Amino acid sequence: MRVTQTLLSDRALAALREGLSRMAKTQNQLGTGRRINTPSDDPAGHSIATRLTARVATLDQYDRQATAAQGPMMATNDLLGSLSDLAGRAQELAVAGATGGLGAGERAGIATEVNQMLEEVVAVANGSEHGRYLLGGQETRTAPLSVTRNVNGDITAATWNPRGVDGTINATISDGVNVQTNIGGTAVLGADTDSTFLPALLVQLRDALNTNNQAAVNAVIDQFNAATTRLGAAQAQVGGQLQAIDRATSANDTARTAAKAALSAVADADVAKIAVDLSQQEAVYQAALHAASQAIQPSLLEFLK
Amino acid sequence: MGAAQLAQATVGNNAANASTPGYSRRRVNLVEAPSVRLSGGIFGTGVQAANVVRLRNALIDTQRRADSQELNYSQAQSSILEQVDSLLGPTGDSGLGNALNGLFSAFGDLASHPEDAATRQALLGQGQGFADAVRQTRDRLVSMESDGFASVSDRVAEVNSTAQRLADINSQTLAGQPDPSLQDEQDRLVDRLSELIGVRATTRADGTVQVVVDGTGIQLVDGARATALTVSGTPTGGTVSLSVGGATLGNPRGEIGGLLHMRNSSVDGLPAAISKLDTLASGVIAAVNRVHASGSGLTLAQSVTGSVTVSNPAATLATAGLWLTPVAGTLNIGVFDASGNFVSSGSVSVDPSTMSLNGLATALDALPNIDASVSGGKLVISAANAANRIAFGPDGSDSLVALGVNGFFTGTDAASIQVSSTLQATPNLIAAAQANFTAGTISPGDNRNALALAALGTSRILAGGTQTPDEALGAFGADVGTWARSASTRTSTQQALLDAANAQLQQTSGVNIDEGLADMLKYWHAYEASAKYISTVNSMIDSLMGIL
Repeated sequence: MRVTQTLLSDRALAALREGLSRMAKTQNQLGTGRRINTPSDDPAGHSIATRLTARVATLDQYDRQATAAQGPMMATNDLLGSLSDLAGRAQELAVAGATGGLGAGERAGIATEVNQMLEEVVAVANGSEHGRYLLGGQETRTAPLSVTRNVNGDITAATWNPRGVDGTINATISDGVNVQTNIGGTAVLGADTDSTFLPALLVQLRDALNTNNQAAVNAVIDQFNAATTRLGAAQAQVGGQLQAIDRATSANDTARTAAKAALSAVADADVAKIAVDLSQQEAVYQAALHAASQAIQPSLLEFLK
Repeated sequence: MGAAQLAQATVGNNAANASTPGYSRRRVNLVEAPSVRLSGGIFGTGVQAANVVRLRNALIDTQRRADSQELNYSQAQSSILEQVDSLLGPTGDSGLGNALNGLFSAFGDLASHPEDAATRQALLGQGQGFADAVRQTRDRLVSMESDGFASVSDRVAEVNSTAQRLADINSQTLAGQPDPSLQDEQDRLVDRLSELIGVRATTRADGTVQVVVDGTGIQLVDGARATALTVSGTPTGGTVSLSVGGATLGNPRGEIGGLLHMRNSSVDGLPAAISKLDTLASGVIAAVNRVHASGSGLTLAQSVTGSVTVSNPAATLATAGLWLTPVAGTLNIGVFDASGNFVSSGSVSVDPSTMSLNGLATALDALPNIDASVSGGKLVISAANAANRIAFGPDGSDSLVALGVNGFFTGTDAASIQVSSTLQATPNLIAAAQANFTAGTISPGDNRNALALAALGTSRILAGGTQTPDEALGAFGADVGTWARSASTRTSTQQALLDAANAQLQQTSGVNIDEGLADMLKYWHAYEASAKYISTVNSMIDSLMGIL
């Protein structure tokens, strides 16, 4: 083979060009900490990484919905606790009021206390969190209970928002898992036409006490059992919903850890390996440079002087 | 002595041009001068230079040009694809991917806080972010198209001037003696033409070079005549084509071929990338708007105007050229008063094969408390009583989506996608809720529609119901990545082939300085010997003269 100077320098340049472009690629991986910097680095890997990134974003979003739902649900849980206490105490007052031998004045005293509790029940049932009424169903901006009062300002009747208080609000907290994050007003206090509707019971009890009607007071006592049972069931429901959220959140954590690990395996650079590669490529490049400088210099001219 | 001097000059010229691109080594062919017959026998009369020849191998040239045109073809593709590739960027940070994830996350946030104004505002921001990312990506692709067109035009101008120069040299060759430097110049010009467009060259007996575009019979240069290439097409969109004297040039190679391929190919060129992006964008627009159109906002509008213009409102919806063809189905619509109390509802059964936009407007207009009309090719639906409001229910006919009514996005593809300006002006119109015409309610805390919008992020809504948005985006990236990768692989392969062919050329035509120097010494010695001979003859004559 006939070798010329241009051939030598062309070859040396080709070797240097290749060495340099390999180093540039490795250096980019090391600099960004990513194995895949553009889709062409690994088309299939890039596609997988795109999906895993979206997966992590979806799981993050599920968690955000779960966290957002937790606040109002805790508040609802507290609210149900207060209502339950009030119902229990009202029942005790009813029992006390039904005791024989009480005078009209004593009964009226109890009635005042019952009336106070009625006001409390209405206020608690209209409780809100950050401007959202908790028992209003989807009607979060309208107080769920509205009351009518007599000339003395005493509540004579309470009715639910006519647009409904049972609209469910859901949150997607995991793939295909929608949980209810509120509880309908009628599940808590009963329909406003119900005989065991708590505000109506309290009105009934107060009026019976005020009229010193022992039989009527007695009749109300058993009704309270149904109201208390309903409240207990509502508390269990909200507790169950909160647990479902906790379970989903921890399942999401596991899934997210797995997705992030997979993403890192696909897209992240193995820094130690790449650093070794880089120094190896650098050595090769330097050797090529050296060889080129050695090969290109000599010609007969040097020896003809 | 003259011959030795000529040989020396050629060697000197070789050495001086050792690194001149396209230079071919030359050699002086020395032959014995004609001998004379004298009485004592036949006597040689010395040496003479017969001719100066270029050392060049035509076969290697052909091979090298074939490799160089393919290299330039792949390189042109590769450099454009690298730009497309980097548009999609690294995973995670890629503008499009983040924007897409952000959009569906923001729908989820809306589901958590349907009454909250700040959440609605944030959602609009994310929506606009996605729309901007899509449009910017498309703008970049389109500007690559016009850059490609400009490059093709520049390169074609260069082909024309190179071909003209070659024709000029041909006519010089016809006029005079074969000249190695003109031959080198011819080779260089043909090389350049090969790089630019891919040509086959044949040298005629008279020394002229005939150039044909490779793979066709179309002549660029024939003797002293060069034919000009013309470019037709527009910078963006459509197809750019080349023609020579009226004949269309199919698939040229070389740099121009690579540029044209990227500019025109709907398989792996820029039009393909643009159409994939358009498909992705219109798929997302259709899916999001389909859910949004059937929802209700925190407040309702008295009048709603579609964003899509229909050029012929009298044509049936199936043939009106809509970006998305409606299907047969029922469109539900209701009327509420300003305080959110139910007034009435009704439904229209849409059959796109018989119903025109005008017909749809008439049918809607016939519903109680609703006015509908077509204005400037757009559907306008209003509550008949100015104090009332319009609410949309389920639309099985897709006509709301097709006509751009009550959509989250306006626009129909990657070039036109925008968040509806109506929503931007009144964020409360974002439909997080679904109207209930049976109960006659729309509730502020109702997040069913927002949940349905958020669920689109993980639903197979694209590519005919086979891909989720992130899968579609991943597939887009994988396609572009594969094109870019294979173009760059082809480029390195062709580079290696060309390097090998160049090495072969160098073996024949390259100048080895050592060899040149050795030749120089050789001719120097010959010259010295001749000079010595002359001085010997001279002293012989001197001696003879001394005797006389």
